[in-house]
Amino acid sequence: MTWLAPALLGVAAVAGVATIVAHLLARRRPRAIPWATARFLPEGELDARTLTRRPRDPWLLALRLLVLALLGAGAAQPVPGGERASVRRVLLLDARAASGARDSVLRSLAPRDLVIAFDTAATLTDVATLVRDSTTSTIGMAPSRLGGAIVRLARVRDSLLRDADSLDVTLLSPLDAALVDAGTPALRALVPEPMRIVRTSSRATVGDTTRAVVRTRSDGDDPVAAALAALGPLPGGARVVVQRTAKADTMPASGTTLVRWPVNTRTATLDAIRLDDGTTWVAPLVRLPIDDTSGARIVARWRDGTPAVVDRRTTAGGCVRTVGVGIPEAGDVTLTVDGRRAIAALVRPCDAPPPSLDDATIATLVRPQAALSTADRAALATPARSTWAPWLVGAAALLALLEPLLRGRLAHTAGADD
Amino acid sequence: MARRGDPASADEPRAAHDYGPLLDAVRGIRWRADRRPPHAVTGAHVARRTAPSMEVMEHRPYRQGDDPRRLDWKLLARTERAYVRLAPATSVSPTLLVVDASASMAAPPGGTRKWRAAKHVAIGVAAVAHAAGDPVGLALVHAHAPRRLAPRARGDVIRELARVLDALVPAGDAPCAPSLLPQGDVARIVLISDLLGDTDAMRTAAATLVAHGTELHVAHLVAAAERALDADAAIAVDPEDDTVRRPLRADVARRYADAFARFRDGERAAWQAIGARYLEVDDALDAASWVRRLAAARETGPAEART
Repeated sequence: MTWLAPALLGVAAVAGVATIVAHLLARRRPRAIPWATARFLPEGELDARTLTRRPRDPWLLALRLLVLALLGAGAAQPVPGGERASVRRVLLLDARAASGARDSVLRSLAPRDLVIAFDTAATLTDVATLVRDSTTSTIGMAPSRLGGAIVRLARVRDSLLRDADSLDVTLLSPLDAALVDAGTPALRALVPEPMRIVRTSSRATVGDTTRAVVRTRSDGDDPVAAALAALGPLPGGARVVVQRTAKADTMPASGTTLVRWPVNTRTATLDAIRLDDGTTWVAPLVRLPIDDTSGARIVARWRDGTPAVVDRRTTAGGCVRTVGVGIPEAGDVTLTVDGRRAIAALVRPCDAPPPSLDDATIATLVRPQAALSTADRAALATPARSTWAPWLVGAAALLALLEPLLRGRLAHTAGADD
Repeated sequence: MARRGDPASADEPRAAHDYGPLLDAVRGIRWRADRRPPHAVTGAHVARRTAPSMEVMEHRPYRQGDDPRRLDWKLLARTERAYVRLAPATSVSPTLLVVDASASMAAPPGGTRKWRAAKHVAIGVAAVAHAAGDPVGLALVHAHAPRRLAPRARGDVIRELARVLDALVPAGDAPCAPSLLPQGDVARIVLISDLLGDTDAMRTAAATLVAHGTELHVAHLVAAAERALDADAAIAVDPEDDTVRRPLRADVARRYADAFARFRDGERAAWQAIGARYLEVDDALDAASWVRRLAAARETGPAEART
């Protein structure tokens, strides 16, 4: 048997002890004796309270204790059968989490703990399945989205709480900036439990902390080269070659990213691209054709979803990035703050870690910042109920009705004895 | 509640011969009248003032205004000098004993000792008065069996008083004030009470009584057990008013003793203020000594009256 509100058992126990003490603390009226000079005695309390060894009115005490026990048991809502865990652990596992940390956390979980693995979608799974599939490669996978995992957790939360007192939610993720979008805080409010955040490195960038070497090949004044010159060294720890010439370069070697960024000759119009780190660049741009996007990782899309930048792995272990974003040759489009940020994202090595979440955003994940409205909470909540509770409370109420009758009878008997 | 006919306590004297030692002890006590008897009834009682009598004590020259009947005619005839005959006034003082037989006279803490002391004082006073030739009567104030015996001087009056007193168990809360109203043939009233009843009404009636020339003695019965509180935890209930209920604990003994002492001092002052002779009678002492003090009582001060 488990209890949905075991704390109320303690409350009932305390009330029972208080009742016993009250019965031991007898409010006894001493015997009355005629006293000729009684009028000269000072007035005062006639009853005397004494602590006795045997409780007075044991039947009344037993009835009161029974009422309290039934009331406490009913309020504590017993659920017959099943073992109720005090804490049920839930792991929100980012698919981009480093395998070492991932396996370590999985080993610490119990078989009955729940894992919600997510990337762009969330999957409810168990520990054994994840351990079995731990070798799955995530190279080139799209950035994970936490919103889907939270929604999945909110949907199973009530069922988890039926056999557990509380939930221990842990997020294991490299905490990419793309993990959280604008709707995530509102979704986070669906789960009131605090969330422990475990930051891990991305699978593809374990130990990669060096600066990238960027080499630009162009035929003269080039806006990309100017932006890169302004940016200086880029993070990523890999070699990056930005090819702005028409001549096709050789296939890049392992660890090298070749960025093929054709020179634009057409008139630019105002357009926008959205990068995989969640940022958007709005500027006069030209849509350049990309020959083949099948099997490639889309790094950026035009505003209508059309791939704008794609990555493709080579057999030699390198990476070829095709940039279909034409930049006006004249002007300072690439030298603005947004332009330089976009250029830096587009020439980032294929295996470079995405930008991380800032601390303020992480704080919003630890505890929900927005509270659910009562209506929303009621709509989401399906509270567990005890089928025994109404019967126990009803029995307590019936016995409570007998209490004044028994008390009156005892008082009558005591009066007759006097 | 005990009523008339209830058996008295075992420690109480049940027969007049129990008063034998007391009667022996009070024999010879003379109780002079404090005031001139209202009626010139001759008797064995010695009055304070000299008055015409068969027993000549002295002569003095006749003065204008003297009753001519008091002239010693034989002396006038023999010596032609007018003298009047003077002699101690010998009159009777009909005495009424007003005995309070309310419940408080036999209730704890004094218990039956107080009632026994009251009876002995009453019998002792009656014996002294009777020995002086005064008629003695009894007004027994009792809620259920009040008795009134008119003052009489016959020989068995003491025995009858003892029988009436012994047959009664104090009970109820009958007022004593009606028994203190002026009565024509009573020259002296002795009130024997613990003054725990209708004290104010009693004093009002007694003031009228004294104003009419009646000699009033108040024997205030105080049990030795009443002076100091010595009882276990209990609720003290006034036997004459059960609405008075007070906790009886050792920690209130000091306050109780102070309140009771103030009460006694107040009663003494109040009774003396109306011209009564007040005597506080302790049940722990011999009743004969109290009778002697009462018979000798004059305008005594508080210290003398309380000893």
